[in-house]
Amino acid sequence: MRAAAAGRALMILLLCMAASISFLPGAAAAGIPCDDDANGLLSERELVANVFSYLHGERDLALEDLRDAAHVYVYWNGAPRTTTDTADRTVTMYRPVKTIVVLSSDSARAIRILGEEEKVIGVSDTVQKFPFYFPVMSQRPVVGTWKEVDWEAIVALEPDLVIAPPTGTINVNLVADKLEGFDITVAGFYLYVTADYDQVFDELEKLAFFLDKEERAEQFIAWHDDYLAQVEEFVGDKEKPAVFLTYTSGAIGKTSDISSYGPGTTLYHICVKAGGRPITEDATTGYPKVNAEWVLSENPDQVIMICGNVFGWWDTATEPADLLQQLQAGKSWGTMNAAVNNKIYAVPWSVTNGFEHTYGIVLLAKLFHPDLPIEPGHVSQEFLEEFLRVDYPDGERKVLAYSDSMTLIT
Amino acid sequence: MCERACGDEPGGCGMMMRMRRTGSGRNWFLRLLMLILVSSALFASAMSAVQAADVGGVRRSVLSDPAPGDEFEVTLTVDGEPPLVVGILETIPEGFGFVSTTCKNYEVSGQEIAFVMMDETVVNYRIKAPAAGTGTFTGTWVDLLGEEEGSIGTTTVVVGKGGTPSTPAQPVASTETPIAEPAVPGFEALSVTVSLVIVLLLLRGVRTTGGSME
Repeated sequence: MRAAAAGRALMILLLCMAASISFLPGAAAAGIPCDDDANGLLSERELVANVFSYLHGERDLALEDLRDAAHVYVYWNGAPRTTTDTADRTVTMYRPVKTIVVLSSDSARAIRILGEEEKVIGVSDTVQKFPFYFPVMSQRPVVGTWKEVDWEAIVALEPDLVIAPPTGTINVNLVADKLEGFDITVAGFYLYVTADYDQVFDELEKLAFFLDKEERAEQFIAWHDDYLAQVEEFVGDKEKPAVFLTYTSGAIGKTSDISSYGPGTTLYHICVKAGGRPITEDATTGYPKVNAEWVLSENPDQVIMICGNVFGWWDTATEPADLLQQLQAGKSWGTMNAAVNNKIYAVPWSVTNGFEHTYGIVLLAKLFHPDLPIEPGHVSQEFLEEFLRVDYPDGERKVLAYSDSMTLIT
Repeated sequence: MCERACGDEPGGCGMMMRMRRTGSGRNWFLRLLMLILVSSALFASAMSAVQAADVGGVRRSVLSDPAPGDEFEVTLTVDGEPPLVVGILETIPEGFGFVSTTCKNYEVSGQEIAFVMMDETVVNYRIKAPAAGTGTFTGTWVDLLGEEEGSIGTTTVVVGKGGTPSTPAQPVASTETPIAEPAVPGFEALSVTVSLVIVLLLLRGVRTTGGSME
């Protein structure tokens, strides 16, 4: 009897503790603040009643909750913002996003385009490495890399939103699982060009929807669409050069296992939109391995090797020249069209970066079709100044692309 | 600041160059003084205009002291533009009674009246005065779509005195973004006027001096 009574007392105590915790002002609960009837919609009556309570000091209401509620009522029509992320998960925001953790440089670039970098409180290591691109976010604490994340660090930061890639070693489902129970919303977006070319713009619009930055997203997309239309119109009826796409890796310099790009990858999309025809068009994987003999037999008109640990450009031609030499060493490509015409190019990795690919399309189009009446450096400058809002270093020689006979500078 | 003002005005530095060619040191000094005074006045005026655009606050105004037992109107004006959600808590003096308001969302509790202004920038409310006495209105406001909040300056009315209220309402700045209010209302206009008068006087002085030299 005594044990049963003690058990009941303990149960009551636990229930009381749970009830008291749920009424603590700082206890965050999913749902729109001030939605007193919990029907998922905030009415004017509910908002006004809560403001009255706050003004009269009748309830222990946090001003931040009231302000969030007012934002939801005015800008979101009293309803939460819900969307489906790229991992096909339903993601709902009940309050305006004030703090964000980004787990890739592509999502950091999207946040920068939307002008919300001040909200970022944690970043992946790549973001920290590039203060030129991310002057604000590079100063934020690093919470992980592409393959490893410090979950406790993220929880300690208490972000409203974490943006993670939909797939990969650190993917959105893993992140959501690790952060479950901490009232942190997790959204899965690549924010770079994937197999579905238009997906990246859809992702930008969804992210902008969460952040109330739809106008900024529209501006960027309109800018991209304009350049893409100009390139497509120019290259539309022109003969498409056969192009071999590759990148630097541990295999460079060998005669076999050269890495390339197949359909659905970012560089493949860029090449096609720029008016080129990748010789790997029949590849069944995104990153096929080929050998030097096969490349020679396909006799590409041009070779595009993206390389170098750079964002944007090289300051001198030394590194791309060295990388090109490594690529061609021991391959007997001398009779290949691309070699005969000196059209084996080293191009910085940045052409495939999230949203910077607009510049990549123009750059490759210029290499494939030199008569294109668009200056790639100008597009790069517009992207950096108007969307990333960083100063384009005037007066400095920037190597945008390099071949043995040509250095495209701006 | 004056150097920048000179550089920004197309005629400013050119005027100084011409003065140097005259070789008249006193003339040059007086004109430079005039230029500084005019630039300072214009600069002060421009600065206040920029600050005014950034100001968020709530003002209270009462047209006149009420007669005993009469109703009178109090106006609250929000310095801002829609969309707006502003909560206001007004405390009316003891003996004064709330009658009505144009605000859709209000709540009366004793001498406190709470308003929630949604996309409204002006709210009027009517108060019934007691038979006699003096009363002070106080208030606070909070901007719920922004980050600011503050107090509404006090307004004291004297029943039966007639005329304007004893203490006109003064806007009080946000507690988070203090505003450099002039110590005396209308100070900028006064300073500009004084500056212009000084300039005119100096101009007269320059003409006189110039004539005597010839």
